[in-house]
Amino acid sequence: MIRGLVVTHGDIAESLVVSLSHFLGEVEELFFLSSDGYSAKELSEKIESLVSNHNAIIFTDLPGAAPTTRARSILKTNQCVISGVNMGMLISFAMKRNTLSQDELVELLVNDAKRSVEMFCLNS
Amino acid sequence: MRKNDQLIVRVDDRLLHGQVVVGWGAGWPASEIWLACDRVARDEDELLLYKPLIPEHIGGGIVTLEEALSRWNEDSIKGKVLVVVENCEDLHYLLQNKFPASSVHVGASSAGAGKTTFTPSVHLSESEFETIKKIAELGFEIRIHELPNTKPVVIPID
Repeated sequence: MIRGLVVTHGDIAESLVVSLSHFLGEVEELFFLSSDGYSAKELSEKIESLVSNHNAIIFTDLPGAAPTTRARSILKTNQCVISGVNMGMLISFAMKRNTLSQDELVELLVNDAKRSVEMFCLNS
Repeated sequence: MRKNDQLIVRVDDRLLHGQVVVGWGAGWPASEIWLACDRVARDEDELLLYKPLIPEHIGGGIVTLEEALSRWNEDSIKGKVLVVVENCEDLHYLLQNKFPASSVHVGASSAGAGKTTFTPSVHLSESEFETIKKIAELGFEIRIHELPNTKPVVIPID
C-alpha cells in the first residue's frame, strides 16, 4: 500500500488527517508531521524516517517552503511530493490509492485537488 | 554606502523558507536575498532545491562564506540585502572577517537536547550562546527577530 505523509507548518497536517477521518473513518498508512521547531537538516531526517523503504506520497502545504524543500531532498524513485495539499486531494488519495499505479495516482490527485478549487460569489 | 542601503545577516537553520522569502522578501522588502552556506553551495542537489526559492523579481543567489566575504564591502551594498547563514558560527566567521553587516539577528535555531529556549523558534546550545557573546564583543547587537513586523527580542548575554 502506498504510504501517505502530510507535512505542513503548524497543526495543519494533523488537522487535515483528523478531519479526513471524520469523513472516512481512520485511514490506514496516513501520517502527519508539523515542520515547526526543526532545522532544515532535522526535518529531512524526520521525513525520511517516516517514509524510508515505502512507496510513498508526501503531501505538503506550500511549494518553496521548508516542508516541500526538505521532502524533495530525501526522495527516492518510489516516492514523490505534491504541494498544495487540501481535503479534496486527501479524500482522493484515501479512496483511490489501491486502484491505480503510483504515477497515475499522483497525476489524478493533482487534478482532483485543482478541481476542488471553485469560486462562488453573489453578483452585487 | 548610501543612507538607505542596508545589509542584514540572519541566522536561520531552516535556510531559505517561507518566513525568509515571503516575510523578509516581500515584507521588509528585500531587494536581494542571498544564502551564504558552504554546505549548500557545494552540493548540487541542495543547490537545485534552494536556487529556485529566490524569487526572480527579487534576485540574489547562493554563495560560500568566502564568496560572500569577497562580494560585499561598504561601497558595494546597493538596496536592502538579506544574507541568510545557517548558524551562529558562520555569522561569527563573516563578522570576524569584516563583513559589512548593517545589522544581524537570529531568526530560527531549532530545538534540541541541552538547548535553552528563548522564543518558540529560537533555541540555543551553550556553544551557540558563547558564539553569540563573541559576536556581541565584535560590537554587534544581536537580537532574535522573526519577521520584519514582529518585535525583536534581546538575547540576555550577561
